[in-house]
Amino acid sequence: MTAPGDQLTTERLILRRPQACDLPVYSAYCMSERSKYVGGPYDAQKAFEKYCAMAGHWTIRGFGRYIITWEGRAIGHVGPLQIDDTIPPEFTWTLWDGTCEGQGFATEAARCVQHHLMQDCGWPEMVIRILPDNAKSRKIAEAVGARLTDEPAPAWYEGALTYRLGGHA
Amino acid sequence: MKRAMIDPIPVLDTQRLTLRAPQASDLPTLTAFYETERSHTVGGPRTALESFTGLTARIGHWAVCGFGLWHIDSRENGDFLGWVGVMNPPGWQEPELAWALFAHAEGKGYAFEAARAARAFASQEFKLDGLISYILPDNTRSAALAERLGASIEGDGLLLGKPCNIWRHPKESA
Repeated sequence: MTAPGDQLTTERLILRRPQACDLPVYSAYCMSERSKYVGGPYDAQKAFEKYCAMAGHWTIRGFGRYIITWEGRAIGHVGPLQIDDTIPPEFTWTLWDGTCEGQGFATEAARCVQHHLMQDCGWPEMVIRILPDNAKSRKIAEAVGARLTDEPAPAWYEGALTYRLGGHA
Repeated sequence: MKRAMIDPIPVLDTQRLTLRAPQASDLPTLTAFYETERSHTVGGPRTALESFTGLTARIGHWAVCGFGLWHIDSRENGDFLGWVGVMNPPGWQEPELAWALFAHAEGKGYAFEAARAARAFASQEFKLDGLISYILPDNTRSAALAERLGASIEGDGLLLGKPCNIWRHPKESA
């Protein structure tokens, strides 16, 4: 398998590894109501830890979440997260700022990373966890071709639905 | 800032110890430690998921701040003994020299040896000198080590919601 690239490009977006300069805007997102679907809002200390963890994940696993940049501005993150290496990586995406919604950025970014990992790098499977009332994220999961399963939610994400990409139907 | 993202975490050797980057194979030991009450002096207890986040965050801290925590190995047998280094998350009044050893590594002077090396390196390479250490009042072992390192209590502080003493280290360059 090919190692995932450090930087990917779509029509409108550049997806790149985390950089220290992203921390303020990421923290603002984490400390806002927008992080409610992923256990937030968080305090500044927790936001800092989560951001550092996103950067360090690349070092430990050799892959991780990309920062979505549009016209030079960091607007969200997208990509795989693997806490438990006995199960497939979890595919995640978030736009940090509500004003960036409704333009298809998250779908464009998710399609690009999904294609890169599963076509270019040969990854067989990823899972996606989404809370049932997060309709916007569910639409993106469907747009990238994920299928809803009846798998139970993991202990750390109570109530979440599980979608799968690849693997056996 | 971009430079720090690429630079590898430095490796330091002391007489008996190697200070090196946190790595994936440390996770089981770290998770087990953070499930014990012993970890209450360093932000624990924590779940396995939180320990994973914590481990990856230690590596990312170097990328974001240009300094961070090293994991300590025995040079004799490669045993993972604990950690030492400099951290500065939001809520810290300034960068802190921090340390912790697993129970089996105590009583051999390892923390002293590691903290001396980390403090000297921080002064020379990070240009951080006269660091503080946050120590809980009931953590008498860490307080004794701070004293042995030449630090003294400067005042009281609050860290992660817990009252603690703020110790000030002497300047390495003095």
